[in-house]
Amino acid sequence: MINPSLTVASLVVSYSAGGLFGALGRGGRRVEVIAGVDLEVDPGETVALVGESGCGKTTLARAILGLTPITSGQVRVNGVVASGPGDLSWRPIRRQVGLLFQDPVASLNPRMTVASLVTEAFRIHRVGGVDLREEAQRLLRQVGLPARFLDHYPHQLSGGQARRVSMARAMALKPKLVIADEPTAGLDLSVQGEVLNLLVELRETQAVSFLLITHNLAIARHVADRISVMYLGRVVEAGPTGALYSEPAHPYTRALMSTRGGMETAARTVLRGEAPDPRKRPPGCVFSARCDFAQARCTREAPAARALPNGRTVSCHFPLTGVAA
Amino acid sequence: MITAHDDAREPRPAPALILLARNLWSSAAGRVGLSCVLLIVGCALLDPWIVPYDPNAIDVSARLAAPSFQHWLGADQLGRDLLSRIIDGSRVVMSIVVIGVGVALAIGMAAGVIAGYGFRTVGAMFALFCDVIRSLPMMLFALAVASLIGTGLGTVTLIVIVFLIPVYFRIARNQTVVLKQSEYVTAARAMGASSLRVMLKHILPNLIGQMVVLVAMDVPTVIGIEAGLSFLGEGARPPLATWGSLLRDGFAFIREAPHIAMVAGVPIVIATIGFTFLGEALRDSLDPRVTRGPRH
Amino acid sequence: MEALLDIAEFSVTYPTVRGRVTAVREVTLQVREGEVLGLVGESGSGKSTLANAIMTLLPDSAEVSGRMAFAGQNLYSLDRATRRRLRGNGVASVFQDPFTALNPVVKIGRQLIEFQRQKAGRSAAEAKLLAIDMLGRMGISNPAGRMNQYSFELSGGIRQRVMIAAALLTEPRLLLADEPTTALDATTELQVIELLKSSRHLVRGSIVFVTHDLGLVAELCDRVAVMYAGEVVEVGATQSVIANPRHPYTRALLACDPRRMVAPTRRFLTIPGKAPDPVSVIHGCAFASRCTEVLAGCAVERPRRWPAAGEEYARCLRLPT
Repeated sequence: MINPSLTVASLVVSYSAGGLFGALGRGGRRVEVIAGVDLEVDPGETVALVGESGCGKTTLARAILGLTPITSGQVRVNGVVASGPGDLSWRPIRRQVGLLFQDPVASLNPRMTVASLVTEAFRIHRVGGVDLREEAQRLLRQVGLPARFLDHYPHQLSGGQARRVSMARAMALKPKLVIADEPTAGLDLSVQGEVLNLLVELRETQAVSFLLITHNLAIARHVADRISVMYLGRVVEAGPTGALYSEPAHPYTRALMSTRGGMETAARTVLRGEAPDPRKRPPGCVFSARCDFAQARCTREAPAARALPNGRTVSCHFPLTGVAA
Repeated sequence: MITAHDDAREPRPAPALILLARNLWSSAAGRVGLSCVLLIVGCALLDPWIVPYDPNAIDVSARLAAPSFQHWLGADQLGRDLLSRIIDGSRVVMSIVVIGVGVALAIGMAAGVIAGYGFRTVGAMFALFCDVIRSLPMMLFALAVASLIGTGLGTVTLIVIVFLIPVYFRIARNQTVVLKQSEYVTAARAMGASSLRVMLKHILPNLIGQMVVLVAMDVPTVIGIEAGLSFLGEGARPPLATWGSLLRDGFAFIREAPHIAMVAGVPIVIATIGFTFLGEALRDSLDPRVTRGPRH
Repeated sequence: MEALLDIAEFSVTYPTVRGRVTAVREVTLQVREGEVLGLVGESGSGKSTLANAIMTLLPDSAEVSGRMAFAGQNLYSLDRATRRRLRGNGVASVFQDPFTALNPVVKIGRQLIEFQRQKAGRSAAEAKLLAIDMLGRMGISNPAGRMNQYSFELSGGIRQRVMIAAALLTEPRLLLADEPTTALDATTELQVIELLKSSRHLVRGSIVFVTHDLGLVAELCDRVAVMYAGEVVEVGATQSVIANPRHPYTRALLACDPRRMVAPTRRFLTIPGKAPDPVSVIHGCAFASRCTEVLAGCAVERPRRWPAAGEEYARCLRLPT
């Protein structure tokens, strides 16, 4: 039985805020940024985590690597679990995951050369018996950069080159899972394809699973095998890409699919109001205030995730498709 | 195979130091600063070879001599050549600067980075120590210390160290808090780097640039401390030549031989101007900002 | 009828540390009264510089040549002081990041009233009522209460709507929207798009919509001008430009859009190469080095507008096909 590349189980990330006790870090109100998320990525699969600002997807990416403290729940990477808070206990997981940042230039230490940047993982995990310069060259080659970039500094790289260096770095220890945080953010349409093609190529040649964090539905549709839709710290729907696009079960997914990125497969749905604040989490279903299909039950009771056929799940009392309420 | 679409060949960058020197030289302030500093440092380094006379050689016949061809800057009350004493003084003062600032920087930065990174106990303890120091009036404290352990350059250096540590600690700590939020620090942690590694390899190197500016601006302060203490008699013991002790001598004979005091003040002024301008120029060159003019 | 905004052979250059940059290159463009023009381009295309030129917000060091006439008056033949006086009087703008365009320490209400100050004969009380009314028309709940809020209390979508309200309150003859939805989520963008469509009648004048998104232009604009390397390479009615693009760059740009790829693909199209360095002098067609349909003459001869006269044209040596 092969371990999934990533399993996230009932993950909760919260912080205390407000009030005197909050400031002291004890008691006070707790604000849940991630309110119980389940996620799974199988080996070789690409899963897209889509959602809009404030949904918690970036926090989730950090929490998976323990960069943000976890309040409760579990993260398992290739069967390995972190035994507690603290950098040391997260090392085994971090060794197995590559992380790609939204701003590749900012994620490179301006005082380090490309060569030492891409091979830092070797030094961190004290991998011996390796010629680091050769490894650096190999990694650069993998992302299509010639060896002469080895001695460059980040400020001498263009945005695209920095992105490639950051990818080379992520692949250093041959991870089984790569988390890509908004890989096409800020990129023009004419160059977006370069990044995506490179990701696809890496996936195919290196047999890597990808967790793609993005708000760009259009690329998720082409690149991801499965999609998980997040709203205000919860996964409201998950399933194979095609099914979610053609037959969204959750009203929020439907609204997303009616935008231009969603290929307008659903009738145009303009949502009412604004995304709620995690500090003022509404009772019942988090989406009820903006949902065209909300009923009395939705404002009282938060829906649990239920399984639909075809490996889908949805958190809704009255899903638009699949099982009847 | 997808290859990157490169810009025109990037030329190998010139070493950072050369670029920096060029940058500094490009502004008027930088030129002034660099020249003054090089002059003083040059004197300090080349001291034994360039002094026209032995700084401690007494020549009663030249007592209180005004500047002349034989003694370019004149002589003091014991006939010692002032130029030689000033050059010798620069070596002493620069030694105090280097040791004092060096030790304070090492201790202050180390503690600051550790505190800023999140080690609360160390941070709190050190912060307490620093707050105490900062609340003390320096000169009085110096006099008190001198009365305990005696006067001399050692005392001066100790005072310099004690009073500079809180400055470097505070800046290092605040900057570390900021730098800890950078994406590249997160990237290193995401790869599994230990706290020690992050502090040494990622935070410290990015902190040094700013500290250098600070150091340059602090040198006049150190010179001032030495001058003040020596002037009060709590610093250099005679016959040691430092700028402060020369000022002291000059003050004693200000009616008969005003040139001594004036001449003694000159290197202090040059050093202050030089290091301050250098510090400003360094800060400007390390912090490029595109100036946008007013709108059309 | 004379165009509201008449731009002819207009160029903008400015000095940088690396040399003289030509940001806008002999652009010819008209915006008629009451129409919505989309200005499309990627980063480095010059669209933002052109937008700034229209708003007369170019940096002092910029040099301008050619004609830019607003309501018949050539803006750049005036001296700087006169030009500054005209600013805000007739041209209003909406920016990408409303947060920085709105003063964070002043309440929204007061700012909305201030923006109307130039409108002669409008008292503060009147301005306040008009502001509340406009906020309501923007679909903002509790408009009277919102007047007392600060910009940081509002979400991105609402802030953008406040910005649009502010612009509309000045009853501009020309509204310039510079990437107004780029920073917004997809669902919020949809809200703002619907809002712009439905409030079109509130703008008696014209709108110039600057964006990198051709799809957005298709929704909102009557005509579209496509910019590349500082030039307008194609301009025409939106529907025909998108259905039948005449310039290879427009074609390539449309092909790269993953939203237009109906069948799911794992192979994305790009336009290989880079836009020419704005410091360099461009010989021939600026797009030649990246064009898949390049001809021998393209690197030598700068394509002229075809058709030569009229407001709709494309710059390509292959025309007429």
